[in-house]
Amino acid sequence: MIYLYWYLGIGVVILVVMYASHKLSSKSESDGLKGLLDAVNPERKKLTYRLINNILVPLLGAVLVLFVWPAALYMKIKDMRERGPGGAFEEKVFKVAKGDLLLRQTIEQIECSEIIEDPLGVVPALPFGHLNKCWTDLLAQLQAGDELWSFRSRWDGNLGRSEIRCGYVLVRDGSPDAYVLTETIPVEKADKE
Amino acid sequence: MTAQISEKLLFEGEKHAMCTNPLGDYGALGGELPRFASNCTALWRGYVGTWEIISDRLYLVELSGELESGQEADLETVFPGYGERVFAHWYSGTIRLPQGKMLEYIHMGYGSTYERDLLLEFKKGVLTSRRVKVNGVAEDENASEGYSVGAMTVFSRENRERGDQS
Repeated sequence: MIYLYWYLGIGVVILVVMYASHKLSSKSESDGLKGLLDAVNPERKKLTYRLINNILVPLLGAVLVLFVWPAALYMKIKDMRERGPGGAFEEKVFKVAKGDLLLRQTIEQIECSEIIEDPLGVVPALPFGHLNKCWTDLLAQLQAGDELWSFRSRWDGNLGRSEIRCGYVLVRDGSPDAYVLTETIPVEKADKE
Repeated sequence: MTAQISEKLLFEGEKHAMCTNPLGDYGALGGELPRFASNCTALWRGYVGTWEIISDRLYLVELSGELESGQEADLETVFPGYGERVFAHWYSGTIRLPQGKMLEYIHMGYGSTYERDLLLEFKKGVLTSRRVKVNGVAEDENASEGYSVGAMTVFSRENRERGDQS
């Protein structure tokens, strides 16, 4: 029985620490954010929703922490490790991985395949058309020994929208670096293709 | 959040409301867009583009907006030297043209649903296929026909500069 008391005692301490940590780090909803969330989910304004969300769920959470605090502790540590030094989630930055490289190409090969043709002639007669500056900016970064590769990457962005990104990337010392994008395809559409 | 004013599309002799923003993809691919001013909650992107499909190709033919500097913006502002028309070769994706009566009004983005959606698929600015998606039939005979925005808040320039809204 003494072990159970110890177990629950530790649970109480962890619960108090986690509650204090939550109160110190969380910010209250601004009016703007509240309006946005209310627009997305009108249920938020109902009394039943508020009772469940503001009372029942926190209460159940507290009971869960008390009884299965090792799992809660694991999740808290995992959460802290995923956050940056400032305590906020770091915005993901798109990078091309080695495994996404498709084909090594020369500048001439890429420029030849990226000339945009238009019968009405309302696009610059330059590689990548209206996006030519992106290409010239990439070329300006080329150093001796660099390679250019085409790539196709899956990108699970910050807003939960997954897409396939295609383009060309500069590879320096075997590692993909700066890139230009030529196309983004939503994943559900890419799967059909 | 507010339902957004649509883009416009001239297609097969008709003018359609277009619930897709291909110019946003231009920016996402690295194209330089000026900083547009948002004058009202129904137009967060700050501009309205008019598009046209000619010989299965998507063109931007008109742009109307205002920059944060207060300057009026048109096609020439974004694409210098191409003030009449721009081939949207950067755009790959689905363009949605809502049709028929409104089934449900959603006061956010292009979320409202209509009886039908004409969906146009593009690959690098070229129309590759089209299909009609039927969403239902409006029960209310008086339901509004065609795309519309319910309400919006307009920002005055003075308040915008102060960061307020009116």
